[in-house]
Amino acid sequence: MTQLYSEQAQSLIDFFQQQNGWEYRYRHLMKLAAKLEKIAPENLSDDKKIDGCETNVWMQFDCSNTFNFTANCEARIMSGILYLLQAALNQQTLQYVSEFNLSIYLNQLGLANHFSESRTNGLKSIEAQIKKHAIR
Amino acid sequence: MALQNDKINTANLKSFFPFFKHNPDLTYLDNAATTQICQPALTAINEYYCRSHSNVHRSSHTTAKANTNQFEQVRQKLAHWLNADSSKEIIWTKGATEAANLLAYSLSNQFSSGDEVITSITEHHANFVTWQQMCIKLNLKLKIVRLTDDLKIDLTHLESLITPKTKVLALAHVANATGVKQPIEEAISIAREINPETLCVIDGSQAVCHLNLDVKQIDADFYFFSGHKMFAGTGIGVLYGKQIRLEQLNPFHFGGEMVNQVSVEATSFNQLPYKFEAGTPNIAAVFALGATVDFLSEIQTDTVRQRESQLIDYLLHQLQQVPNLSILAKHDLVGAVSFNISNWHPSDVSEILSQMNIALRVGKHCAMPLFNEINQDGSVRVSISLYNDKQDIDKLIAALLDLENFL
Repeated sequence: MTQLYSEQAQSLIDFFQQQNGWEYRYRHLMKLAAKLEKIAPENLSDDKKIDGCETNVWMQFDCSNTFNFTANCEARIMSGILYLLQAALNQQTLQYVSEFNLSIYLNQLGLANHFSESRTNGLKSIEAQIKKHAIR
Repeated sequence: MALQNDKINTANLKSFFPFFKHNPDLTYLDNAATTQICQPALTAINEYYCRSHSNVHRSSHTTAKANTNQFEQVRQKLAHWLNADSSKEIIWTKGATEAANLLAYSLSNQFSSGDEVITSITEHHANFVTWQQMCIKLNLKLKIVRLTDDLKIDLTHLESLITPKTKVLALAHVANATGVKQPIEEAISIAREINPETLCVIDGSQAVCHLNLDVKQIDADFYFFSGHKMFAGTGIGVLYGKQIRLEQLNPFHFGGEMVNQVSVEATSFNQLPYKFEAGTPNIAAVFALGATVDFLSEIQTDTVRQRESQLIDYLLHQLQQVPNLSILAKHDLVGAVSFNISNWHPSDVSEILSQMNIALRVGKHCAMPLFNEINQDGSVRVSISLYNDKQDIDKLIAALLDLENFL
């Protein structure tokens, strides 16, 4: 199964698919962490914390026009994953985000198999928050 | 038992643990979470279910009687292994957590508002949350003993906390999050000196597979641990209690075989240890524990003990060669070392190491009060057991050195 992606997300998929071996995928994921668009420090508060993640994740949504979110996480791998989500979802229509299938995306990136059950559960909580804000 | 015909090669103890045959590429350094089950325990479980499955303490047919005998023999074996006075002092539980809950619940009628319970922030949640919740429910005062810089109980502070109102002192023998052996004998004697009625409760979960336990020498009122942290598999724990103390406790669970006489109006309870063992027990797990104790009595020689302590020293030494690595506590370590690497979140370390086939644990290790004080991110914990060797440590160190290639 596949779905249509933003240019940015498609180029990430292409890049990840060219990487042979988990080492390269993880290395790149950790590099992407630096690109994560973060919540402005003055807006970082406990009510933005997402329950159910292995590491603390905060998300702030702005869906006034297109879908947009900023996020913070203390861990690099999770920050990299959040960046992958920003690349796929930010500036998309709410309709697109509400229909977006996260597990297909992670599968195409070649990452889904690496993730533990608790990581996957954390991602489900994040996905639920994203959908909640996109479907209003 | 299974080992009798085998020549025991203590240099390759992994051969007694089938897990390693099935996971030859995995470096297992998460023994503080659970140890692998030994072959004698597996054989005991299998034989029980295949050959002699029936209940204990109830029916009088042949297999039931044989099982009851064997079941009680294991209790005697454990009493002997721990140097307890009598098998009446050995209570089977599901594990350490149930033992802690049994104690807190069964003791509760002995406390009144304003009484005090002392514990520390280096406890596992099993021996912390349990007492904290009892204190909230009964309006008792929960006092927290401070830790020294090397994350040991501060005995001077403890001395200042004990009062005539102190009812319980609950401490771990070895802290699960840091691996630090706590000065429990000194703590117990300080508590008793000031208030002889203080009930001393020791969580031995992280000590049981690393130290020779002698409950008389430790002299706690209660001492408990889990079977799965000493190679016996899950679902069984041991609560040791001094007989005089156990007799003062109320039953924890009600049901079959823990009773003496039951009428519509009232029930009188069975004698020790049965009054704490309502319902059909985990018979297979008790037999597994018995087989494990036989196995350990044979293989856990001074040489094996010594090798394990040398391995911890080696681990500590090698970890200190890794750049930017800081160890939480370096003294009196038993079975585990806990550390952080600057600029690395523990969860990232664990995820990459896991991809490299190295199993360890990161996070707050069920000891959130400790990490709230020392490091909000938690730590990386490496925990060894008797079957680990230098090669395991070398693989871990190589993996840790490789981490910088991911930045």
